[in-house]
Amino acid sequence: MSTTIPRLGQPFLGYGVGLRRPHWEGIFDHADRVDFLEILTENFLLAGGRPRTVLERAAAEFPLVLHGTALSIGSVSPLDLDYLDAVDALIDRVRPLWWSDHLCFSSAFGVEYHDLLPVPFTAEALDHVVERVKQVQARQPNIPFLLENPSYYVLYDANEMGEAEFLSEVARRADCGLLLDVNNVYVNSRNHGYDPRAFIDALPLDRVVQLHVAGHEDLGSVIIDTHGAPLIPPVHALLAYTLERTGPVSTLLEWDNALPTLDRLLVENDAVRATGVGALGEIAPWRR
Amino acid sequence: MTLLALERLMHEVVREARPVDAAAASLGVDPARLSIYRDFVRHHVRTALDTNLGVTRALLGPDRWGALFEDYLRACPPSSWELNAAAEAFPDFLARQVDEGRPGLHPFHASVAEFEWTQFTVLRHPAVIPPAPAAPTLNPTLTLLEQGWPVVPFLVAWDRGERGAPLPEARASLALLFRHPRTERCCYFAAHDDLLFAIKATHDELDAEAAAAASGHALEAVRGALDRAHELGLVIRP
Repeated sequence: MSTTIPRLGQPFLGYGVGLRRPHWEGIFDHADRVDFLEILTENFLLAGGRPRTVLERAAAEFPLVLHGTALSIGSVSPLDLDYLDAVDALIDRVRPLWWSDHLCFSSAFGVEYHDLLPVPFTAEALDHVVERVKQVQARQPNIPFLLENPSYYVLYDANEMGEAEFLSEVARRADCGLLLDVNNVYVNSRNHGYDPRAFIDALPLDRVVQLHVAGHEDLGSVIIDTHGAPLIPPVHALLAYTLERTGPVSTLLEWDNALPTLDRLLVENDAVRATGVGALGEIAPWRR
Repeated sequence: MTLLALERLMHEVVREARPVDAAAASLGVDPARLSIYRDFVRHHVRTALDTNLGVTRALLGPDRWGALFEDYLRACPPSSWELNAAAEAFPDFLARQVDEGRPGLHPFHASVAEFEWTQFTVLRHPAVIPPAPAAPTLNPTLTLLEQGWPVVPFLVAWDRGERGAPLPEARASLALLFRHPRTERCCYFAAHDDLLFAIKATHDELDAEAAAAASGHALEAVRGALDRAHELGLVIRP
């Protein structure tokens, strides 16, 4: 039984969106409809020029969180210290509320895949991931690290436990937070045939600091986690189900492909907010 | 299966070094699902090249570009967390292909690729352009690119929509690339005498009068060169 302080003591930021290049010019005029921003860590590690300017303004005007794809926490290759140094510098510059990455390996044997490959749910992988999460957390003791459940398209024969058990054990043993991607739960449940609500119930929800929601593409034989479409009603329903159990957790709309206009993005964020308010009631988000 | 063995298998799949069916059997997974990862990894690199080397791609045409991509993917795997950097090694790769006499390639193609990659590095140059320096200063993102082909006039014409022009003759060329202080876009110019003079005068901290005296040029001409460099964003003034 977990006895952690809800959300690891982190504030409820409300309903936010990912900061994407086509929206750089307009997003700052809509603080009334966007409560916080999430940046893709790798987009700002070399931040000269326009990215630096936008990042500094985002950090000044919105609560900000970092979300990465290149940590490769499950890789058998050593942690990339150059990458972590760059992340540290970014964290020191913008002081996000927290930073996150995925339970996956995105590089190995000297090659960057720029994609999220699933780790096997084995005792060996569990020990490995726990140790590495502890290492990265030790670098930033005052900025919480969250691990996200990724979408995955294969279930290895080698698996020795379920995903929920694996995630729960990582979070407990490494004492980290979770970024629960509700759309990924839905996608995985459809692709691998399980009950998404039972999956959520099996997680240590008091460790969930942030939620992701997104759209996907249903190809019939498989659902692809594209982040390129509006949420479908079942994902809204699963978001409501989750929030009713977690209480207020910062909820972020991811839209990374086939990027919509800013107006369209804001409408979609309004819809996510409406689902959240339906589950939680009106709750004022945290402000700096 | 150990974590190392599993990750090596997945690595071989996405590097296209092992057939998906064979790897899927070893992993106990659906080959069609496994191929999703191979296709995604390939797609990411292709997108990085298509995005950052758009003129090179257009000059080469879809067939040659596609064939080069296949060989590049095998020869130069991405090694940086920065996705755009997946394109970084392409100019040198292309130059090697030219040197080796690969049909349909021209040295000018490699120069354009080098130029396009340099544009990206200027856009992401870590230097901060001072908004109000104490004295006239050179734009700190200024990058000089020496090439054996006149890429700048070709790209200027390209941007005007003149896409059918023949490739130019070889000619030693120096290009100036820098990030504009206001628009933060990458500007580029052929390094003509006035711009080089303005760079030298600013670097040597000479005002117009001192630069005119030192060079023997007319004061009006010197002022014109310095003003022009400032208007372009090459020189930042207080």
